[in-house]
Amino acid sequence: MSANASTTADPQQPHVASVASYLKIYAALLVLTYVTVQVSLLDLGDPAIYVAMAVAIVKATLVALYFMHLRHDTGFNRFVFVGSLLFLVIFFALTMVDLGSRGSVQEMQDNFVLQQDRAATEAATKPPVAAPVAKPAH
Amino acid sequence: MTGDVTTRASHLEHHFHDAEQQRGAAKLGMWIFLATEILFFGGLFLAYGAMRFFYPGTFRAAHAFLSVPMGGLNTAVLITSSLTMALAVRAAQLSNTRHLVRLLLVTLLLAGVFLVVKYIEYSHKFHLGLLPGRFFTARGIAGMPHVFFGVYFVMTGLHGVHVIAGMIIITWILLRARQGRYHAAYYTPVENVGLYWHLVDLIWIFLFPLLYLVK
Repeated sequence: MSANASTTADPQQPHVASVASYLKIYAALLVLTYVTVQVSLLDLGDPAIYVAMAVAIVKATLVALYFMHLRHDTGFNRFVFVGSLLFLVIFFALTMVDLGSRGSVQEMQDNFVLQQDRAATEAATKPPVAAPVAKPAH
Repeated sequence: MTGDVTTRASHLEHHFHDAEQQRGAAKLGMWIFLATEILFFGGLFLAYGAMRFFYPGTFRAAHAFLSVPMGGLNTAVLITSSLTMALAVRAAQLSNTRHLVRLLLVTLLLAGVFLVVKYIEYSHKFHLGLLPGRFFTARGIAGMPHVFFGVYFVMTGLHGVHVIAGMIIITWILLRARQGRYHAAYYTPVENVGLYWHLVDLIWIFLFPLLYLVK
């Protein structure tokens, strides 16, 4: 890919793709749109969103590589585009991990409070027991 | 050095070494702008994800009120307009002004079709009271449907604003293309408007399945 990039990304001669190649990408995009609509009718349940996003990512990749010419663009323009996606992934991942784990953190906190509370209640209600006194070692 | 100055093409600004450097700088600037657009929409996609996470039942119930045929039609319309835009850039690369003008006109027309379909969808939602937040007046959807329609209207609305902005800049390069300003040696504005237009398509590629299809 990187070796290919240095040979194809020649800024002196902008790449002129053939009409046929654009039509092929166009046909692929329409077919994928049809596929994603048909798949949504199958009622896959929870995995449906992953299938739909996988198809959307393939479509977006085709648009970026061929319609937006990233395939024949300079490495730096590709870096800007992929870089923005990378930050998007960080943004999404951290936020969703936060949202997804709030329940369990709350549960841990609740349990901790509960235990503390129980211990306090027990201490208050039970008759005081003579605490074992640590004997100094002879 | 002085010889250089006299032979400079009219489209080359004085602070660039040559046309290729100028084109590269303009394209890099456009890509950086597109990166900010991606992050801008990213916040809304994340809002969608968070709301869907909080109210999965509502999203399942409320998304059924969006028309898949309408959304599918608009997806096809935008993809077609992306094709005509890509071919317009190609026509500019080949100095074919006649094709360039025609393809830009078709792109503009398709953008108009997209907005008309969107208008039909929106007026239907308005009629039913399927509106964001406190404007929501419809009955019969369990959960928090006004949250779903808030996400729907903000995301598709902002995308629609981008379509309108795209139509304005396509009109601008269309008028200049008719004057024969773009040719193989200089077509950067066509290329950059094309990049913007493809990004608008790219965002819709994700909006359509997330809002209309996924249950």
